[in-house]
This record gives sequence, C-alpha cells and structure tokens, in this order.
Amino acid sequence: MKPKQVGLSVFSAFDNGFTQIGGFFARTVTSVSELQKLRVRYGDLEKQLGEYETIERDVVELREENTMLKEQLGFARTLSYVNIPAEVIGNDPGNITSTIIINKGSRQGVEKDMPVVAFQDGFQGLVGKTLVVSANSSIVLPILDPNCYVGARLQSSRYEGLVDGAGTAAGDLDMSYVPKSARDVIQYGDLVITAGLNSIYPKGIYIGRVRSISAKAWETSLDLRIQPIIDFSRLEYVFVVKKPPASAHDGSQSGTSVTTASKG
Amino acid sequence: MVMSGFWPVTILVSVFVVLQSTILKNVRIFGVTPDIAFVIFLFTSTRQGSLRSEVTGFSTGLIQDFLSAGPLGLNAFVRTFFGWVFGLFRGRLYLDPILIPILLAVLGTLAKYFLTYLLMLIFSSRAAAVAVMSTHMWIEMGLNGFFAPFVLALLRLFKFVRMVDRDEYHR
Repeated sequence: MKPKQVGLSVFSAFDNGFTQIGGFFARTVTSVSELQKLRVRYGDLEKQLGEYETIERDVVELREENTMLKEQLGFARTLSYVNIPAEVIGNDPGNITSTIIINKGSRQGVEKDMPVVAFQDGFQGLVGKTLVVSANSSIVLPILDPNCYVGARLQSSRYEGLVDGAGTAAGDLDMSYVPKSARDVIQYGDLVITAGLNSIYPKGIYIGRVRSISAKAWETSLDLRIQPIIDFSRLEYVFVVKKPPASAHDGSQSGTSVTTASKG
Repeated sequence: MVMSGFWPVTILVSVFVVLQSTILKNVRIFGVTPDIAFVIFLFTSTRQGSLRSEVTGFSTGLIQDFLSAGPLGLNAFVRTFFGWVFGLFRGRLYLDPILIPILLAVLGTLAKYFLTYLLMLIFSSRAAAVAVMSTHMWIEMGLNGFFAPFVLALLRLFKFVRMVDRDEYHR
C-alpha cells in the first residue's frame, strides 16, 4: 500500500466522521426550525379546531332551538284562540313574589289580564295572566303565586274548585272548595283544567294533576295539592291568549277547530 | 373618601338585581334563588353609612319593584329601611371573613321577610302576607348565609366598595 493510500484511508475516516457530525448538527438545526414551524402550525390548527368546535356547538344549539320553535309553531297552530307568541326574558329577582317577564307588550297587542299558556310534553298548560303591560314587555303573574286565583274543574269527575299557588318551594298549587262528597271519586293523578266560568281564562286549559288529597274534620271541603302541568323552571316560550270568541269559549280546549291567527 | 364609592356600589347592586332576574334564576336551589343583591347591599351599607345606603336601597329596590309582582314601592321601602339600619353600623362593625357576614346575611334576610310581611299585612291582604312567610324564607336564609362569605370575598376585590381589613379598621 502506498503512503498516499494509507493517508487517504486514515483521513477519509476523519473526513467521514466530520461529515457525519456536520450532518447531525445540520439536521438538528433544521429540526429545530421545523419544530418551530410545526409549533406555529399546531397553534393555528388548534385555533381552527376551537373555532370549528364553537361552530359545531352553535349548530347543535341552533338545531335544538329550531326543533323547539317548530314544535311551538305546531302547537300555536293547534291553539284554539288568537294568540301572541312570546319569549320568557326574565323572572322576579326576589323570592317573595313570583313573576315571569316576557318580550311582548302593548305594541304587540298584549293587554292586562290576558291568560298566558305554554306547551310542554304535549300538554297545553296554563302559565298565568298578564299583570303589568309596557310597550314591549309584560309581567306575567304565574299560577304558582299565592295571589293568582283560577276557577278550576277536575277533568274526570267535573267537580269545581279554586286553584291558587301554595307558596311552597316545590311550586305546588292548592285547590280548595271541592266538596267532601267528591272524596271517593277523586284519584291521585287526576287532571285539573280551567273551569271557564266567567273567568279571564278560557275553558279546558290544563292546570295540573292531583298530588295529594286531605280534609280537615271541621271543614266541608277538601284540600287538594296540585302539581302544575307546566314545569316553570324550563319555560322558554309562552302564548298570550286573546279574548276567545264566544264559540271557542263554549267548547273544550282539546280538539276545537276555531281558526287560529298567531300574531307577533 | 369612603363615600366616593356610592355610585359604583349602587350600579353593582343594580346589576345583581337584573342578574337575579335573568341568569341567576337558572341556579335555583330548592326552587329558591339566593338574594345576592340584598347581601351585597347589606355589606356595603355597613361601609357607606345611612344616608347613602338609603338612596342606594331606594333606587335598587325600585328596580326590583319594576320587575316583580309586589306593589310598587314595597322593595324600595324595605331596602331604604335596611339602608338606614345597617348604615348605622358604619365604623362600628368589622366584617370578618366568615362569621359576621353569615350572621348579617341570615338576620338581614329574616328581617326582610318580616318587614315585607308587615307591609303586606297593612297595605295588601292577609293572604298575601301569610304567603310571604313561606318555606322560601328559610331556604333563602340558608342560601344567603351560605353565599355571604363568598360575596364578601368578591366585594373585597372591588376597591370602590372599600370593605376594610381589621388593621385598617383599627387605624
């Protein structure tokens, strides 16, 4: 082997080593810069993903709202009376009285002492009556309030009574002036409807179900505890009912075919 | 000046009255919403003094009256009265982090219901008055008492309320 060949063999090994080391550093530097680029890209993608998630949530929410509005619209069409659809925008700030604030007022045709109904789980239930009406909003006195009295009737046995808020935390109602003779025909779960008798409330709107029956020995009437048909904690949309025409007032709520004209 | 916080305090209580009518109604516990606006009002009254607290109480009570079914002026009167009473404690009552706030909130709520009961009895009907003293009262008392220390801790974050520390109080 010639000396030059030996020298080449030795130094080419160093040469190779340095090339490898140089390559390693070059790759490391490139990787660092790539890592930085990837980090930026990752941040962008993460931001994009967040936006998509927000959009997806909005879509889900809009779908739910759309379904609910369609359902309400369907119910509004079945409603026997001219009605004004409204959205619940607030409640009583305190706990002493109970009110519901809706987004429709005198400009939309709402007047004082108009009945307010809502639809939940396939039932048209009584919410209350308008108490204070401003231009674009109204205060509704719900039937839960002890100051709200409604002439009522047991749907199956046809006994009449007077319903008002029990003032309990559970949001129950009391039905009084039901004669004791009705004790044997009243069952737990019996439906209570509006009686309609010269009342501001149309006849036949569901109020609630009998939860308990009691009677004091010295009184001539029963005390019924009623669970409202409407779950007030998830009330979002209501219908303010205009004065019913005479023909509608006579018929029962369910199945009547009076022309509906929704407004609002 | 301690009095300089009057407008911010009034606005803060007003904001909580409106919040209680909307967003906070979703946090019902046993069907009752804690009256955070009233608790804030009580605490700030002990710092603002009677006159300022009466004005704050009247204006925020009036807002509550506009949104509720009670007769106009009911809440305004109740809060004006408590503004005067709790304002008398200015410089005399130190609010420690837990015990005094709870006591103040519980007793204040009880007194609020009692005064409302009396007013309803005089100006409304007996039935309406009896309805005031419902189970809501006991639940609200418990809730207001429970939230009182948290409300006070929140108020201490706002400089304009000037809820003092013990050292500052003795200075």
